[in-house]
Amino acid sequence: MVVEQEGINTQLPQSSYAVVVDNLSKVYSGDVKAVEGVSFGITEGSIAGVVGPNGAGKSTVLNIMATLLRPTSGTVSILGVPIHNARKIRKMMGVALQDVGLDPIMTGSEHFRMQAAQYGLKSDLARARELELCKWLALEEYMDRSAGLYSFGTQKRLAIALALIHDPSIVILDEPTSGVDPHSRQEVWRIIRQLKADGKTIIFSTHYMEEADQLCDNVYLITHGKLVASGTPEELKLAVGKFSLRLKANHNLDELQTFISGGLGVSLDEMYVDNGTLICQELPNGVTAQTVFSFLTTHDIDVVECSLTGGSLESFFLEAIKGHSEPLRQNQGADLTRRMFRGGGKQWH
Amino acid sequence: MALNSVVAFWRAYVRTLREIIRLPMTLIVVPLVLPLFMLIIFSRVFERLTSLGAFGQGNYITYMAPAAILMASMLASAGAGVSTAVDRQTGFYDRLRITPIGSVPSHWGRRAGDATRIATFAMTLTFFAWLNGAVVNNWLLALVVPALAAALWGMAYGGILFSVCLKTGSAEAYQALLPLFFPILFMSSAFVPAQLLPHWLEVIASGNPISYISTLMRSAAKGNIDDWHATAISVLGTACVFAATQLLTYRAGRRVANA
Repeated sequence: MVVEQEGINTQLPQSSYAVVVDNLSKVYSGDVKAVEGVSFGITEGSIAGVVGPNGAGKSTVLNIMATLLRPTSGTVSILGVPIHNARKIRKMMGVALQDVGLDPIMTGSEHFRMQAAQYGLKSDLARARELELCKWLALEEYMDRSAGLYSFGTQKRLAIALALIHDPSIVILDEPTSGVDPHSRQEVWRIIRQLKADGKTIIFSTHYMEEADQLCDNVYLITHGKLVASGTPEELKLAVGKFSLRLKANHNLDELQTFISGGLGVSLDEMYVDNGTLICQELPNGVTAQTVFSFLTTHDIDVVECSLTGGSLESFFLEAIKGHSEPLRQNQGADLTRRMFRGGGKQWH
Repeated sequence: MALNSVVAFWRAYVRTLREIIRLPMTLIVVPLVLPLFMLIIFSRVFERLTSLGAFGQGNYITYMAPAAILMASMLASAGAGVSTAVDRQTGFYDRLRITPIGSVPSHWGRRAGDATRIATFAMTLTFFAWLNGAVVNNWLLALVVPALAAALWGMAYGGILFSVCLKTGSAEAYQALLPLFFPILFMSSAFVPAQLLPHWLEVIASGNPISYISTLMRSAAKGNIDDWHATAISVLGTACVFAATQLLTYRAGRRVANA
């Protein structure tokens, strides 16, 4: 079985995915459509970032995965277990929700004890996990203080620690860095990277494209309740088409423009020379920086530098949501995805 | 799983008791002020009522002490509901919901915590009533029976507030329902014997469990629970209210879970 969305396969068998979301929809009371026909798969041991503007439906998708909300239609399975088997899912999943969910008059240690009881952990194991997580997340000095006295960054770290008390295989973090200072954000990044190194699958939502770029193996862009694009950060950055190929070579750059145009079909209008560097603003389908480099070197041109610059996930994000100020029509999301992934090396969802 | 649920219940119960200690003004002083005021002032203001007869033996404070205890019970019974609404607002409740044990042991832990607080209030008010001249013939019965009856009534009645707070996630919802205790308490024979009430009120009071619970409490203070009619209706009335409010709570819980 393969995961499909609008007839496009991921090429991976379902067993390769830790999380499979299939045609997921959620309609709230008052006929408010929060999520509509979302499908994707998240590979085991990867970091998946769910991005999108406010109110896009990110938290709804994550809350359904976390068994907090019931889908109106569609299915989600976690490590092969469908989410209607909530008790089993909850044992293998750790969730830090968007609200930190702390009791301001309880201390950190009291939170740990209560959380451990909710997972049925024996007291000695719970204590060992508490000490381990406190050390790892630099929470030791806060354990005897009321959570209401913590900084927001520390509250977020405690919320993540509580989500990890039972050593889950899948970790869901809903906007783990929203509202925290840069230092705390770096701390959360460190935690997420370490979780991946420990073999866990991490799914998190964020508004920060830099964060998604730095951390994610795959990014899923949701807007108006629909998945409009997905891929690795590199693929998405390339897809937006606002990057430049910068080329330095021990050769006459004006001649090189004509040579590249003739050999690779790059439009002369897209190329210019600036301060000793040949810049290609856009490459045709199937032509990558690697293609250009290989083409030149096989023709004995001494290439000094060949790099892609300028593309950013943020520009992709802005481009992607620009066409979605109104709710999507059926299939419009897939159309946009196709349009954006013009280049090679893309991964369809 | 059952044992794990008991442990989770215990943690929630301990959490509730800890809150009582850490927030004494809100959870101890405020629910006790009005009943204490009634006990001390009302008993003086209306002490001559006993000359009308129908009060039986003893002074007015002996008669109306159960009313103060039941008032404290109903005021304090909102604690679990308000705390759960706050938990819903902070996200703590959702944290419980996404664990294998879920939120139900927490509901019971909180309500058991309220019952403990109410039982303590009942014993405290009994002692204050005695200091103000109430007659106590059997301390064991005078402390245990009102404490038990008030705690159970508080859990039963508190289910109304709990279900509304659970359903709405709004602590303010409790304020809208707070005045409910006035008609329930005053349309009973807790302050004045039924024979002295207007006929229409006497009819209502005769169907109000509060009338029978207060009679049971007075009997306990006298050291002689011989009014089996009052005892049976107290138990039955509390059980019926409990069942009804439990149904409301169950439906509220389902509604939250099916969001």
